[in-house]
Amino acid sequence: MTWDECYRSVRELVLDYATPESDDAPLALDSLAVVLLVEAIEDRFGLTLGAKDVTPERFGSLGALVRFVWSLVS
Amino acid sequence: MSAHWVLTDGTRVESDRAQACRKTTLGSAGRGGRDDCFRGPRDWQHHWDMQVQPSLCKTWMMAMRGFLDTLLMTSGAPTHSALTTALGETLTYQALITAVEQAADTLREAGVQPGQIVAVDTRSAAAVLAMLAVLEAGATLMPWDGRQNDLGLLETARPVKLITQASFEGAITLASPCDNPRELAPGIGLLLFTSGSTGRPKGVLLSLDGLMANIDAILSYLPVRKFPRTALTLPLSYSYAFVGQALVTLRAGGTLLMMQDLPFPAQQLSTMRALDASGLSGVPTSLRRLCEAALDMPVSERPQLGYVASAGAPLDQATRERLGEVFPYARRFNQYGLTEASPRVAACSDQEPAFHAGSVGRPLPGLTVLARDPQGTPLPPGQTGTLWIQGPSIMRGYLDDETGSSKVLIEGGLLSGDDGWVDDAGYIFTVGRQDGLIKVAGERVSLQQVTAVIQAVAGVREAAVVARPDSMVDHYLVAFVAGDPGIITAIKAHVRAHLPLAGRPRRIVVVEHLPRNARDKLDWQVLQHLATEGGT
Repeated sequence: MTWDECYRSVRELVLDYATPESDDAPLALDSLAVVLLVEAIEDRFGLTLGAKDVTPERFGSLGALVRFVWSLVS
Repeated sequence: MSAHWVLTDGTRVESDRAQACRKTTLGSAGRGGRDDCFRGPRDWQHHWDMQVQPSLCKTWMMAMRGFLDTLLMTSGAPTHSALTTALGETLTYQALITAVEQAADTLREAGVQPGQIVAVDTRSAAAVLAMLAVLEAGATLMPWDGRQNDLGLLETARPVKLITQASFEGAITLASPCDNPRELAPGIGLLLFTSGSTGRPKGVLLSLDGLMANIDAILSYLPVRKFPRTALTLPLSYSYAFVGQALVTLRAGGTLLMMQDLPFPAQQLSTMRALDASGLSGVPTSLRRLCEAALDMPVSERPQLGYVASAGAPLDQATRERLGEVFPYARRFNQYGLTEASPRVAACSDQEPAFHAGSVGRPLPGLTVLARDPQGTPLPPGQTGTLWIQGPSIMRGYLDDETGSSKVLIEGGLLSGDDGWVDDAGYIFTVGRQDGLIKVAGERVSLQQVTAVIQAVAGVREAAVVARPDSMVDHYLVAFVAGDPGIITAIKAHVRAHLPLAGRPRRIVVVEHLPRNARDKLDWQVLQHLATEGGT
């Protein structure tokens, strides 16, 4: 998987639960959106994310989330 | 002939006072004329001294007094904190009452009348004040999640006003979302939309009497008075959150810890600890996530909860046990309810053996629950049928849907749609539903609705949606679509615009043709098998 593919996949999943104005804009997820997005990411990338992975720093913006997922799949 | 009321409990009230109070209710704002009636917590000394006649039903009490006076009758001192935000800002009961009254005055000045609907965008912590103000003004409250702007619920409900913003000081911002606001029968407190088995969201009409009855029934078992600091993590648009937690806590004189803005489990736990939360209610999904996060921290850093309660979806054995490990000093509760029942129907605690056997509990005081067969005949204990609920808190009906209402409101009770049985001791066990309604992270989702939304996309030849069990979010959805491969972008955009978060499929699989069996019917077995295999 390339960075571009990772970016596109994460963005596609994020758009189901949030409408960020830019890669660095806050995602403004509520608790339901967080849990559904985590599950969707696990399903799409074959990952298992623990509670320590689900933090405001990593899920705060689309850019941060792509960097986090990329660090796990690359 | 003298003036009289026949109350819902059959009591006949004959007096000039009853007539005067009735005029007050039907009159302008229900404020003037209350001075000669019970004043409630606005007059604290009087409140403490007052002996309330238990024979008087709540309708009459509410007619004489505003909603807040009725709700807060048993609440704590005016300087006690009613509400605390995640940042530690606190609102006392006195400040809460002042803010709610001010917002209610704004609504009245804007011409809001009893019987009309006022929608409230529930996305901020201060929305709870606006929600209380709608009830205080005598109107019907429609909680509304502003993110779901495209679902058409405002067009269906036709509220006279929409409160788009609220502040803790009682300032509210009003919008007029429709040209022809509707009038409802008096006494309807809440209009809540929930997924219906026919595929369209249904508007559930709940009476104020029923809500108050349910709140008191919840307080008969949930130890909110003993553990009064309630962590509120669920959206206020859920009846579970607004009625089952917010109103219950305020009635008990407790403190609401507004944590909806904290979506991350570790954040929620540390804030609960910092704010000294003593009670937590959640759906199994949120409780599972919290358990996972709590296990990463030492017991001494976890919130010291007095109780933790689950509802909204079946609480599996693993989660029941995990909760006991994570919060060893908390009493655990499993609960059963549905929006159409205001919402709570049954509950049990971990002190009861049935809790450990997976029961959702026994009916709350005032409610009767039994299983009925498909013909509507009551079944003896132990036999599985559709659960039927009778009592004061069941809904008045669905909005604009007499046919749908008459299908579920039978024999003076509510046919829940949930299958289950009741044992000899009265404990209820649920086993699911047969009508295409499933739970995703505690939210009711209609497979028919999801299918219909996908089928509405141009170029979709056929669609079928499968729900798969999931150990974290109850179920997830996989949609199979017959169409050209490129159609997936259009489907996703349409789904995002027309389905709530929980109804959006985790996977959408585009195929040339959907599988069919020898009788040319959709082959659901094959679809279920394909849904387990992954892929996009």
